[in-house]
Amino acid sequence: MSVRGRAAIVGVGTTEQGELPGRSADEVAVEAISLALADAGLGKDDLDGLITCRAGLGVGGVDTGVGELLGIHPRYSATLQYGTCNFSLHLAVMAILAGLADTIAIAYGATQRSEKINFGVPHSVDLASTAGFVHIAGPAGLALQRHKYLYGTTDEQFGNIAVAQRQWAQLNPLAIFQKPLSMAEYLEQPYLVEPLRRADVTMISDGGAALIVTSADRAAEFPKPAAHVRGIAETTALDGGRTPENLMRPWIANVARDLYASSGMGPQDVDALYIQDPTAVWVLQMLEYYGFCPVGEGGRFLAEGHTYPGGRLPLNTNGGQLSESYMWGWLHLCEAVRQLRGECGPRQIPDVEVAMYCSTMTFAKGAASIISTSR
Amino acid sequence: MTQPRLLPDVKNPLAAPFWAGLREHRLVVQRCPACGTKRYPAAPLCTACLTPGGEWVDVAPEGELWSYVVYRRALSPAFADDVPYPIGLVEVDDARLQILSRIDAPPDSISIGARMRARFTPVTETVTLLSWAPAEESAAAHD
Repeated sequence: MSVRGRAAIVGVGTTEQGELPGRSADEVAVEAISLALADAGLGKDDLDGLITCRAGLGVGGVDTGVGELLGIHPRYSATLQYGTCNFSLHLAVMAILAGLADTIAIAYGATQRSEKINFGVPHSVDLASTAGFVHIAGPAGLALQRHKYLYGTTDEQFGNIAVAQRQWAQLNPLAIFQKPLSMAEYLEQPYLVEPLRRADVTMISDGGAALIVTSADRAAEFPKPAAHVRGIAETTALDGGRTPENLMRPWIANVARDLYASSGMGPQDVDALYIQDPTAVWVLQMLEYYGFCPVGEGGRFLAEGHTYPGGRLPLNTNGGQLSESYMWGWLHLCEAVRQLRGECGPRQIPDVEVAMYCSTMTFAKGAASIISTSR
Repeated sequence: MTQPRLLPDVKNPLAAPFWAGLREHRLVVQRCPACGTKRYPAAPLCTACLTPGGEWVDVAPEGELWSYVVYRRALSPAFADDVPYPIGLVEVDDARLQILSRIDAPPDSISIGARMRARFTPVTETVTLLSWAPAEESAAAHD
């Protein structure tokens, strides 16, 4: 089944990113919703749906709290335990198709930087954490080391992810990390968790993001050009944690298969690509599994420069979590919508019609969406 | 190895036999009484056939290094005195179980695919930890 022609994104809101001391995650989420509503020319009472997202490892983000602060009583509301925005968008599309709601705000707010959340605290004390295996850089580093071993991927090839995203970020006023990063400077950075450097791992930041999703039939009523949802797909690997191969996350290929089947599109149709990047390893893996290059060829593909400004596959044109801000992937979809509208100033991709956003929830789930200027 | 400040709860009923095994320098994991599937880490039921419980059985504490990382900076303050330290994922020969722990070897000497053998190190009266070492070196030191 295809969702093509059924739903569209008609509003985008992003708050200031960085440090927002003294503010709660719910408050920031409400600010983002308010900005998205204004962008769509709507008032809050026009919403009949609200889908919120837990505030990372911080406090807040539950629909009952955000909805109360927003002062609305929509027909439908829900909270997702995990971010990346793809899952939230998909739930909104499902709610619209089911007739549960027609104008839905999906939102995320986090103040993990101001809350001084320590991402190095293990979830439980087992043999691995006792040995010092903490932080997402651990499993991501294992996957990259294995990729290097199997395919000969080099530090310099891999470094093109962080370096290219920094170049994009320098064209994005919202981005937190604007300082130039050359390949030489990247390679001079000491390892954080070898083979990962600091530049390969997400920053921690505060901020909010929200989008307004509605039925495609109404999309023309809004002031800004709509971003139509052309295809969605998800998969899980809930049982996969007990074999080493799961670190390579080969099941991501199943999302690609289903997304391309449901949308009737393929990687050759994508004008702008967004990949959620808690570490750059995720970008390497998803470039391969979504068919932008063969599995194992990610390093060589990156070294050819396609993902830089001016390249043929603009990737994470917002700077991503490595350079723009850590919004659990939410800003990637906001940027995709703005690119389709032509709002991106010096980093605007010419003639962009189709954008794709791929994300994962650690080693357990994958999701992707294709959005387009045309229905 | 520097004595870790992060210690497991060895009395937690679910995993207590695992930690008791390490104290005796044995690697023990659960085996499903119904379908025989071995599992690590401990779980209250067999994730293959959902039969509750499990018998604790010995597995040979050796296998192949699947991948490794080297923590060059302490991402948790508990390990500030330990950096740099390598962590490896070893695929244990028996049942392809994956066991992640510290590697007792200089980072430069580690290579994927190497044969690894467990080393058991008491760190308190009740806690013994397992780390991995290249098989030849470990054999010379302990067997």
